[in-house]
Amino acid sequence: MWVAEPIVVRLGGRLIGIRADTGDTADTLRQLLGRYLEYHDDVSAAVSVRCATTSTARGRASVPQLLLGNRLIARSRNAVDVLHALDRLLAGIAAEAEPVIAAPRVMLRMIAKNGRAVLLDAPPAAMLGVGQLNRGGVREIARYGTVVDGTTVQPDPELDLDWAAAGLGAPTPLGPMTLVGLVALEPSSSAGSSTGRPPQTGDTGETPADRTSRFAVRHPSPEWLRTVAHLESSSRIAVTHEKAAAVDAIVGLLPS
Amino acid sequence: MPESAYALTDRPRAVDDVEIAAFDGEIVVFHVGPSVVHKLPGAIGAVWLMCDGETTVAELSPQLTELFGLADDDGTDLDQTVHSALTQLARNGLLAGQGVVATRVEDDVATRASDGSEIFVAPPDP
Repeated sequence: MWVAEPIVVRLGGRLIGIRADTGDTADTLRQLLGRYLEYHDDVSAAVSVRCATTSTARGRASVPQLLLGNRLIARSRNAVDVLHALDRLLAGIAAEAEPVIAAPRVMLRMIAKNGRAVLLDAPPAAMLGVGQLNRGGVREIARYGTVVDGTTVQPDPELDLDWAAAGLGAPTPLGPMTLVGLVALEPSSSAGSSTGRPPQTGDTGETPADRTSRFAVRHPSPEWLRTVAHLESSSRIAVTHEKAAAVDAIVGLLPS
Repeated sequence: MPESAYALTDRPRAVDDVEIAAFDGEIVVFHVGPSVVHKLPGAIGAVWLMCDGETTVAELSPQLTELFGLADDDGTDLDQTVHSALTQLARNGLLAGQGVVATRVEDDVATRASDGSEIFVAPPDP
């Protein structure tokens, strides 16, 4: 399943163990990460990279993917997409250790279009209507949380990975984006409101304070509460039990 | 007046290291010291806003009525509401001088390699 010894890189003063699914993937990672490689035998893997597409006994394909611990960060039929996601993930981990700006890093998924971003609170494995999102020009950008400065989503400083040595194209650098909304996909098992207010169509019946506190707890800082409160006051927070409603909310927040 | 930890002449004061967002009768408070978010519903939020260190406990009930339109309702005594709110606010560390009960403690998950370098550990799922 995984190559026995993880690859170890030093980023932001920290050692990060990365395991690969095959020897070929491990070779690619060593080419990409050459200048950051170190050799340690006591660093276990925190990140897992699978670039091969395999078939299970039931005939289902397991596509390339990137995991942080057990958390799915990215999944794509194109292994290069997964490596690009690895680049952004590692950049975030490095920046977290040595932050350039003192702004909250919020562990929410990021959906973006044309310089605008929506942050999504949904289980990592919950795949939304990817086809519908992609048709609308919307895409998820896998990264290590999201740095939010006011209502601006800040990019992490880029790493110097050797894409040429690996024979691959580098990812397009991310620029600052405007945070235009927050969407939460709440598992339906916890449906219902504790407020006594009847749910409105398409939402969970939460009050503005419910929605604000739900997102505010994702990063304990006054700056993040101000950002969340601003978005709530602008009716830019949606909480729903339904994937389709979450997609509709995202598309509505990121119009053409 | 029901019994509580507060005397009628006490002048409770809200902690001041906070960020507040108010919505239609509810307040979301981020308490900076312990890094805790509180959602204060209705009367509790109103009582907390009036805890300015000058207003006495005895004055809170009339001011709740005057400023927020709250009144004795369905057998609920407003004085009782005030004392219940003060007790809950104190228990959650939102009144000065009451200490902080609900503190957030960051787990130190850092581990070290044999050369002393910090090893990154994947954070748990939220």
